[in-house]
Amino acid sequence: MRQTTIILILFLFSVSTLKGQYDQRDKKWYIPNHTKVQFAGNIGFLSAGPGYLHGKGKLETDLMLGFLPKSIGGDHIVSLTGKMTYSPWKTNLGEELTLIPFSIGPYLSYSFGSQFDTLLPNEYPKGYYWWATSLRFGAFIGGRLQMPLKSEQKVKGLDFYYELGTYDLEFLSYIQNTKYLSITDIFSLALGVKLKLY
Amino acid sequence: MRRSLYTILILLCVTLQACFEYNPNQIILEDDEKDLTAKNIAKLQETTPSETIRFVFMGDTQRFYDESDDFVKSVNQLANIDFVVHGGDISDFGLVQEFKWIHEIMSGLKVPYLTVIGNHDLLANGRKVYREMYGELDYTFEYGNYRFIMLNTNSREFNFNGTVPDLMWLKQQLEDNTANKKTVVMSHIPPFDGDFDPNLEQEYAQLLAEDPNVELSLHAHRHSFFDNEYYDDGTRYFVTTSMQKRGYIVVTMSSQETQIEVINY
Repeated sequence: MRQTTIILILFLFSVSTLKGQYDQRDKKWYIPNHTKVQFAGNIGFLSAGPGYLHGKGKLETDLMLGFLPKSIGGDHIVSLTGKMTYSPWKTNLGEELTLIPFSIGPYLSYSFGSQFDTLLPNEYPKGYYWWATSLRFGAFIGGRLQMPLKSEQKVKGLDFYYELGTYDLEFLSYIQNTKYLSITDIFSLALGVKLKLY
Repeated sequence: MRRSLYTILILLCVTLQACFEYNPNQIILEDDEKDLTAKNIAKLQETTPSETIRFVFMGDTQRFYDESDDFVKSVNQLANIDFVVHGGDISDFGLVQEFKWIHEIMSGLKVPYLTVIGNHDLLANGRKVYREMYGELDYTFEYGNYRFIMLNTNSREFNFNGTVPDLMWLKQQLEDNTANKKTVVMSHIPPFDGDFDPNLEQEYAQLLAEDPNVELSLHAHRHSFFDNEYYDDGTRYFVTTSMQKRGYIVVTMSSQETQIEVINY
């Protein structure tokens, strides 16, 4: 039920972003600047959601709802992720293309499901397990290409990005086992598209 | 430009072992990572057991891959080992990636390995991962003149609901031993531990003590060695240490006697 409510709110929110006025000056603060759709990256097989641009255009904050179907992931998992991306540099590769060579950011991802706990259930003594199985904190580095579209369209531009990410428990496993594990064992790849609205 | 980007991505994919991950709790396994209990019992039974058998009992690999890798090297130097038993807590967080890493390490053993489930293996999607990778949480196998009963004793993970360990099933398995084969019961949590259902402790001990075929009750979980006839009823309880502490035991069984040797590597 809680899950369905969140999905519904996000859906309505996303739809509202497409219906409003498209002039930057008229944009209300709560209307997102963009929408992202991402493949993989430990936040869903596919994830999508609204995002905001701030910090002089170098910082993005995204809320992503992710889905992993059972047929692909062995279990049906819905997750909700808050994510920030800092991209300090831009290089123009001609009029139609901009390169962002480096991005970095953290994320916090919540997986829905009765098998995942956020607080330790009552049957355990205090501190029995120290981490929450429902919440994963992760980080990534990446890069992207930006393509502007004609300004009278709803979507003002497209970004194509990749990310290499890891998360808390995997990273901890690596730093304690640098003989057996290599750094490539804990990083995985994500690919995504950003639809710029404002 | 687009093409070179594509090439770069392909190259990255090849370089990275697990290219795409969808959720830490996903359960995506290769064919050779599935149904391992049945496969390894079949592999074990291809060999002809001698009158005296020898097996290794170890446990708690959780998040200690370097040490687990050294364990495999240590066991491979021993002669006449028939099989290895992992006493549970294969993983630390119940994540499929951890189970895969440990299976990869244990696959380096010259002999088949079997497992019992630990409390950490039941976390998050761990129970589903264990079922798909290994199989049943309670199972029995025989090798030569010996019978091995593998039991889930992680009562706390089931909120002490009275069904774990499944003593009805254990009783049945002990009774089904018409050939009176010497029996070893193995599980992660020993009955005298606080994580074992206190309402089932005495009954467990009694079932083992009343069965003349039972030789040993083997456990892990406590990360230290322990060897005692705990209930003074003739049943020997042995707890092995963790991989972090770099120790395991070798059990040698014959019709006359059972010997346990502690090895620190």
